[in-house]
Amino acid sequence: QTVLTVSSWLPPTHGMSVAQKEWCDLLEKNTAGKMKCNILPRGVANPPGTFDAIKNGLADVSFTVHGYTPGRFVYTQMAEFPFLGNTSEPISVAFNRVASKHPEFMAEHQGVKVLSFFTHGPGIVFNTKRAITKVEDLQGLKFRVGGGMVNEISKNLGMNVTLKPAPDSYELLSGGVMDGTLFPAESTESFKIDKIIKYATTFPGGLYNTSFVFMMNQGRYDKLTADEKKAVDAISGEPAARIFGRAWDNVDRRATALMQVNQVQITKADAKFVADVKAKTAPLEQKWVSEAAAKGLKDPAKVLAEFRAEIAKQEK
Amino acid sequence: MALTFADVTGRKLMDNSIPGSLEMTELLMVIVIFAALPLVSLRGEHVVFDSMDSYLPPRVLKFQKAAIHLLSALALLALGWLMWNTGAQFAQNGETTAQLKLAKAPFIYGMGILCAISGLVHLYLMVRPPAELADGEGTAL
Amino acid sequence: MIAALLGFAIIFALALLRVPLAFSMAGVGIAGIGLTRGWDPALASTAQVVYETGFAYTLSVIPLFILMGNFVARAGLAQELFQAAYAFIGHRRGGLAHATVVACAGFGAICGSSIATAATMGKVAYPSMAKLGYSKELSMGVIAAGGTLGIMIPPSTIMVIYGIITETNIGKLFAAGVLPGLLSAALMMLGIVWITARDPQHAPPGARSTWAERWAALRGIWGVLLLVIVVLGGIYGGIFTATEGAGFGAFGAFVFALARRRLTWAILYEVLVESARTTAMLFTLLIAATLFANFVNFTSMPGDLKSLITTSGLSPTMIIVAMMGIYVVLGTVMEELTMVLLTIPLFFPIVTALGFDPIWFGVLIVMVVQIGLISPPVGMNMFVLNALLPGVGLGAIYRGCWPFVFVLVLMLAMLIAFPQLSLWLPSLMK
Ligand code: NA
Ligand code: NA
Repeated sequence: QTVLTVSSWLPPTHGMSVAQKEWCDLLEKNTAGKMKCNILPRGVANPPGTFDAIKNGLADVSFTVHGYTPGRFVYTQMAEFPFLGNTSEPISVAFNRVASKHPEFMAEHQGVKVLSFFTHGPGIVFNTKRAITKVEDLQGLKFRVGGGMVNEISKNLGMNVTLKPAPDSYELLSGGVMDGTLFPAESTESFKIDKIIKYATTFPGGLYNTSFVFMMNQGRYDKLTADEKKAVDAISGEPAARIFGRAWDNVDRRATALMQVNQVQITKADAKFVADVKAKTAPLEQKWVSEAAAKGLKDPAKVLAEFRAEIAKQEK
Repeated sequence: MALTFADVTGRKLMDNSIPGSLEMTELLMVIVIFAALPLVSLRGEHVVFDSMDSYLPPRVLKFQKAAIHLLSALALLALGWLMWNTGAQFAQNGETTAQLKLAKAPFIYGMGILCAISGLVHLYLMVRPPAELADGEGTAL
Repeated sequence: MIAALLGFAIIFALALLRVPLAFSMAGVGIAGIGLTRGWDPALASTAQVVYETGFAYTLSVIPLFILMGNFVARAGLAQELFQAAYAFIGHRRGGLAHATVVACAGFGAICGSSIATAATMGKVAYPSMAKLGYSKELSMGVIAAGGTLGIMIPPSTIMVIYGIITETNIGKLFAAGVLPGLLSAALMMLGIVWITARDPQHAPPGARSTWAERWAALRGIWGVLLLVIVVLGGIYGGIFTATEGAGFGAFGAFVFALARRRLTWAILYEVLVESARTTAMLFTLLIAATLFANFVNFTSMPGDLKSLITTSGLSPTMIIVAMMGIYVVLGTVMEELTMVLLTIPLFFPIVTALGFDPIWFGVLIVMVVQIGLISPPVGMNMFVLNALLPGVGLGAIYRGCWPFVFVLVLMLAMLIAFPQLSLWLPSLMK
């Protein structure tokens, strides 16, 4: 019997830990119990350290956010741009399809075997102070953001942002140290700020997104027998992206319902607001194209277009 | 070196949302802590269970202390080497801090060097015992 | 299970051989991971834990609070607190002892360390007690026990350490310590009443102060009151996080010491370096504890313990009582920081799995540390006083501490029986 040591830096009840367990259960079922997971009681490393923990073999399987290790991943930032899609599953599936066509994406993950890429749901602007209906409203409030492209996006929009880990949100918002945060819907519930926030502004396709990778230690994968590799491969890539994507969409739906219960005032960004954001964030796509090209990706603009087209196809 | 503490404090007082102030705090912490590590070793402030000391003959105790300093020295030198290699890895990956985009590698090289210096301090202590501590000095609880 | 137990046994053996705790815990942790996961992952994860602990923002709360306590101690504040307390209650039976407890509580509201509180108050209060003819036993017991208030009344280093290891909100832990700290002080004063009623020889009464003297004494401490109110009020009121509050407090204390002309460049340098050293020492311990906890995470121990407890048939409260019993016994002979760092990775998951509030458990942990610090034969508060006041003798200190060990055990029982004592204040925080 082959046992994979699996770690999650989120609590076992969180949607992502549940999705990872679902993948494990599927692996066990498909191999008739010949392969299974030993899910550790707690994560082997904090979120930023997880990529290295898998690369170094501290655990065999886990997932992480690319933006937690700034400077390492360029190509995957493609999945963090504004207005990608309204749900996680189509974006995640498209992400895998496009990335699998370009070996550079895997090359950026030297030392780990990429099982799947995925993203969360559309990024939303939450705050405790006032309804945000136009670009100018974003200025003058203090926002918490995570790392990665969302940081660049918010800077280009002229927002006053501080980079703090997501779990600090409760303390920062409840104490009034910060006025708002950028999150997918789900995180209002899992980080317990659902009763504090008063206003939400949603954007068609999301203001931003976050790129994740679900991965295995390369050496561990190489040591699997041919049959075992086949079993892992069979549920990696698109199938795994669907598991994680669907998990995000489930918890997003629940959290959105909860927002209605808590009477959060939800503003849908109008055409003008969206156009303004597009104008201000367009240079970021240009910047990404030149950075990705410099790092070795051929015709990044085409890859990005391909990605958007694939999402549109998946969303149908 | 430790004056940086006051610097952080001042920054906090002025405005806690200066961009990158959080990262500055983290980086200053790294410098202060690892710079103080050799001093902790030099003054023998690591937490030690010393209740058995009065039951041991002085010569045994002296030998025991020397042996443990040697062990500690080896451990810290090894850690210094490990951190130096990790620093090299960071330099290769080009990893930076999130907001200020400072390279992390120099800080990790620094950690390695200071760990190694602490190791050397323990080698020195094999021949010379640490200074007597004032009452309650260097205690945490 | 066996692997983890073996790890514990080796750490104890190495500790007995006088190997510094940080080195033995880290060594066992690294070796354990090496044997269960392989040596490359073990080394890589060691490096990772070292730099991540270094880069952790929340940890900066430790040096800042240490700094704040050191500045205030240098400003000569302990003396003034003691004089103010003495002016009001010094003339009663056992008045000096009561005044010492009150001054300890006040000093504890700025200083996060129990040992520093005991050492500072020992210097300030003992000479007055000796002059009035107080018994050595009562004086030592009161100062050692009063000193422990330093870690229950916020700020508190042990709460920060617990908060970091268990990822519990430090601001709420601080709020949770306020009532238990004040109640402990009240219980200690009841203990003094009982001791002095049984044998008035322990504590001859002092002179009565006039109201003019009392107000004059109060004027000396307003600055500190302000500092405490701003820092703790700011944290509770949500104006800043615990870390920012600590920064603010350290800066305020610095200004305070400066205003009193107690700061020379030499003293400033000394305070800063000492704070940095204490922080570095704590960090090596935190790094080592993390490495060891990572190893325990890979063993079957957490799961085994959980099933052992679920099959034992004990009620959840009884399990807590049993844990606390173990702590009180261990605390008599073990260094308390060692005890907490070694056991938290084991006990904490059980406690949360049983559905108990981590904040409440944190307060219980602080209480058992308090007890350990003054329970003979091994307790740092007693050793510090012994070193500070060579004429007294450990025997007298031991005899003096026993009654207060019972007082604190009683307090522990109350905290277990009435979780509201700990949880009411944090529940008021937004
Ligand atoms: Na305190
Ligand atoms: Na003790």
